Amino acid sequence: MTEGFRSRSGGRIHRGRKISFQFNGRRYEGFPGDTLASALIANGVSVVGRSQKYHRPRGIMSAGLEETNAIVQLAGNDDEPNRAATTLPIYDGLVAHSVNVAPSVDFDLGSLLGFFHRFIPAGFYYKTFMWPKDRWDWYGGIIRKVAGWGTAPAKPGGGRYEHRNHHCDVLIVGAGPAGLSAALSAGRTGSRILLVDSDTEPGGKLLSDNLTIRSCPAMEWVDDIVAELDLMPNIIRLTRATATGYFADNYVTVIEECPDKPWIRERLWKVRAKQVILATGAIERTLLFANNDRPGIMLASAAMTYCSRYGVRPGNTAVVFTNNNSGYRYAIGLLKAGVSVTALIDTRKEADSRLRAAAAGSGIEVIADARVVSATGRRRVSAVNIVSGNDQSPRRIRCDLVAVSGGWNPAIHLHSQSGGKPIYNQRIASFVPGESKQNERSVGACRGELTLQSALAEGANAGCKAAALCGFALADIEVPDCEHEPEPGVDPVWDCSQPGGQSSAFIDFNNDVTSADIRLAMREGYRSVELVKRYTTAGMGIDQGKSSSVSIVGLIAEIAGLEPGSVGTTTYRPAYTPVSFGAMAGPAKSDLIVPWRRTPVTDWFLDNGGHLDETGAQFRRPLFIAKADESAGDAVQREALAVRNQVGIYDSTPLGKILIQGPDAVAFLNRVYSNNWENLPVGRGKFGFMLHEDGRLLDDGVTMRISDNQYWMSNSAGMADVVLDHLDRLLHIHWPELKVYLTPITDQWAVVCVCGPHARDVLYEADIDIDISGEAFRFLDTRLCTIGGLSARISRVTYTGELSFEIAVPMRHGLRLWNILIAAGQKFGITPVGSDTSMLLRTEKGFIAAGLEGDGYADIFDVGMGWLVPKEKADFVGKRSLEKNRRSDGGRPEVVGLLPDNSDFVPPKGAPLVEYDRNDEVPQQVGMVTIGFFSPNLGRSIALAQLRDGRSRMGQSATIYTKAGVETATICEPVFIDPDGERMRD
Amino acid sequence: MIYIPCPHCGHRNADEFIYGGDNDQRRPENPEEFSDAAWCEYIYTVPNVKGITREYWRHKRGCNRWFVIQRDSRTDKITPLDGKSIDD
Repeated sequence: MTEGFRSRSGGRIHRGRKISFQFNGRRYEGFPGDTLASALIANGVSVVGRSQKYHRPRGIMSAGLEETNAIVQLAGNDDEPNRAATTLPIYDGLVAHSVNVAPSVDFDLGSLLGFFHRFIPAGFYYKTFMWPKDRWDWYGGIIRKVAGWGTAPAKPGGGRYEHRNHHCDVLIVGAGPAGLSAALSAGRTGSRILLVDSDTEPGGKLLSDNLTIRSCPAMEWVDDIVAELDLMPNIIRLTRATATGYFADNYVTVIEECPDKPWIRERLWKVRAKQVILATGAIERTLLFANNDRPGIMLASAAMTYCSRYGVRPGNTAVVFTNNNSGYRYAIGLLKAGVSVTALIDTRKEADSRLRAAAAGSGIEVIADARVVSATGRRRVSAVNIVSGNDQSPRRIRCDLVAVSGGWNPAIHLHSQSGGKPIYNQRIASFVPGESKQNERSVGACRGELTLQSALAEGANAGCKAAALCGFALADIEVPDCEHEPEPGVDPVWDCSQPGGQSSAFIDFNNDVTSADIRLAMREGYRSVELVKRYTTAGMGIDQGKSSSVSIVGLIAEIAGLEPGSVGTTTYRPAYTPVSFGAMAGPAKSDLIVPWRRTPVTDWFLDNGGHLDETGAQFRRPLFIAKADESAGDAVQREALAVRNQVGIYDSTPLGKILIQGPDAVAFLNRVYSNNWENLPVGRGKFGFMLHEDGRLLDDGVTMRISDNQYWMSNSAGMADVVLDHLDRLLHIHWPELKVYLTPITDQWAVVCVCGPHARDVLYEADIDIDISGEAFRFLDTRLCTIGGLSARISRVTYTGELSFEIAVPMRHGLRLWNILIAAGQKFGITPVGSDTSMLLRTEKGFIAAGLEGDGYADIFDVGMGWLVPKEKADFVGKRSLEKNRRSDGGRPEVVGLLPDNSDFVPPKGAPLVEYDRNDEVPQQVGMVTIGFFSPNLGRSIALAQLRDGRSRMGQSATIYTKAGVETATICEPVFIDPDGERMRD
Repeated sequence: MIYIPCPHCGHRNADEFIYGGDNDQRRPENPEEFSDAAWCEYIYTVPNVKGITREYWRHKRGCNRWFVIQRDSRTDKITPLDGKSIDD
């Protein structure tokens, strides 16, 4: 648009190159160094968004991360909602648009709400949309459409994110004058320093405030310091890096944006610092008057920043409205930048005399003891109405820019997150850090010391102290003299709008909360600042109260007739600024969310039709191995038939394995298993159940004695880690006297299971070197052998009920063993089977699965394994609780089998078993289907279930409740094939 | 995230450790002599001390060592045990 807003020279932008970008569909140009906000101002764009609730036109309010109005959505590859235009440097190809506008920012239908906004006060939704009660969902949908901000990206975010751990002596947050001064003094001691700053370049307020140090421009001092810091090997300095969270023991998260690195978008630093120096500065606050949200009304510091840092004039004719001395300096600054400042309105009677003289000398009309009560203009401010002294008749002053300075709020967020309690400070009428709860100290403006001189002195002092506490000798630091800045001398006025006025004075621009809303909430009885906040939503927007929270406290105090200090602050929580999901997730997305464990056979399955899924302990295992065009169901049925009639081969590697060694191993097993482990010979295994101390089932499995003092324990795949923790804890905490050593060996041994009537034939075909006949090698025997030239351990254990051998070889030989057995099994029709098939086969046999039949409530008797608790056995883990529970509990969930009367109906896992009372139509749940299958070996459906007192209901009928209707089944023993176990003992 | 001093590895982030319970909670040698109420008390009533506690931790994602630390549950401040410093 007009070139008139960009000054001919000055600013920290690089005018040699132009950057083209799009905003709301129009193409604009800016310079490197511009933010989106400064570039829009330079192009004369004043309305950048619409407010959330009333859809009022809004303009740029600030020049920093407290921005509440200029919230934009990035489009294209950078699709990202709710970015503040004030902290977004422009780049080639930037495409952004306003959020929450329909259809466009210039003509917004929603703004009709503005005419009704007197009828939408705080709590309106709660009060109005309560009737009829069940329609809230319907109302909610419409309200959400009208309110709210950006839209979530439709596609997964582009770019990479990474996490980095970092340890340092001193973390310094903020590279303004205080932070740089601290970095210099701490850096010179040789301590390891991380200096982070959210801006694109160091300097903080010196970037815009045109101050002098040693009578030279302050930025020359900044350049010298940064040059010295960058030569120090012990300092890491980050820009565009925001400390977002302060956690226990000096653990601070920092989000670094990395636009200049094409391979990475954002980096999350997890910093552990011995000492933390907070130099986070202060945020200017606005003043409340009617229509104080009109475009063209902005913070005085922001107006100054746009003039001096970006070389743009945010208006032509300005009025400065202040309650403190900062307004004077900014008024003079604006004037120097070519903005015509027609009036400086000061709420105070007295100001710093030097400043007043300087303003008057510049030809600015200073109106003391006066207030702006309202602004006029709709899409741009056109004038302000002021009252002064006792004269309540308003005077009108025309302007297109109102620079407001309402005092300074120290950025105490990180201090508060660290556990500190902010305290109210009269001198600056705001909150300052209280006592440190961690190894941190605040310096400069974020401690309420607002002058440059004190920032430099405090920074240098804190840097020395922090380094000294880390064991470094003090460095010799001199603090340079800088130009005199008066204390702000703030007059705490919280609301200048006239009571009963027709227009709103906004306190939270983000959520469209007005001073009238706060008054209403208090009239309705809310007193606590936390409750007023939640009722009105003041301070709950994207800026999380950065622009408003102290004003809210001040206004509450004024209305209630209290000191702001006794009202207290709301709680500051992480994150300080919005954090992208990408940064939180880091590299943990898609395949990297869960690091898959593999077995030597994983790739073979992938090449041969294996349908892989996670089936416990992060192992990817095939559910079934489908032939071409075969459905999942067909594959499982085919595999299950093959195991019962020919032979199957199964990758058992994921099963948990723990080696238990030591002279007290037997004593240990006796204490952790419910059954007896004495007298188990070497080369034999035994089935055991392990209980929690409270009597619940922990896990089951076979443990084999492989030498005098060595036992090989098997666990369910998903329970291996839990069992190891359980055993380890018992050994170290409760029984340190036992000489037992535990070694997890799951990842050391590949295990292949060959099962089915022809299993023995396959092993002989593969040249096994030992006699594995039924007499020589019985069920639950274990032995070393050689098979196909590989040394292996062979064991007779089963989860299918068939003749079954598990062969374990060192992991690196796993695939070779698999291939040998597949080749040897060809003539016997060997069939690879997956874990779905395994689940079907164990269901046919009624073998218990931890987590299904053995859930968190069932005990060992409920799952039909009471025979594993010998009556005479002394104490074991869980015994005492089991006794207690057995005495007091009736109606146990006992495991039963179900034969559906409709033999094609497969009871779905989790379906309730119900009973109907004689008169009652409402079904009562008495049990649950734990697993159901169509058994190809029986030619009918079967299921296992937990059923209340199920063991006494054998032969009776059960009712299975499903979405499709009710089905009946006959209750039977939970075993459908080979009840006497002849096959597995063959 | 609190910073826990492992006697073997030095200070490490808490997410490398697992909590092992109260140092003073030992499994009784004679559970059968407990009344049901007393046994329930042992199983379910976890001491939740406000102040200094002595507790077991295990450096699971590190050296796997078990050790006891003394921690103030109000501040999470970990103090030396038996007068001996546990600083790295």
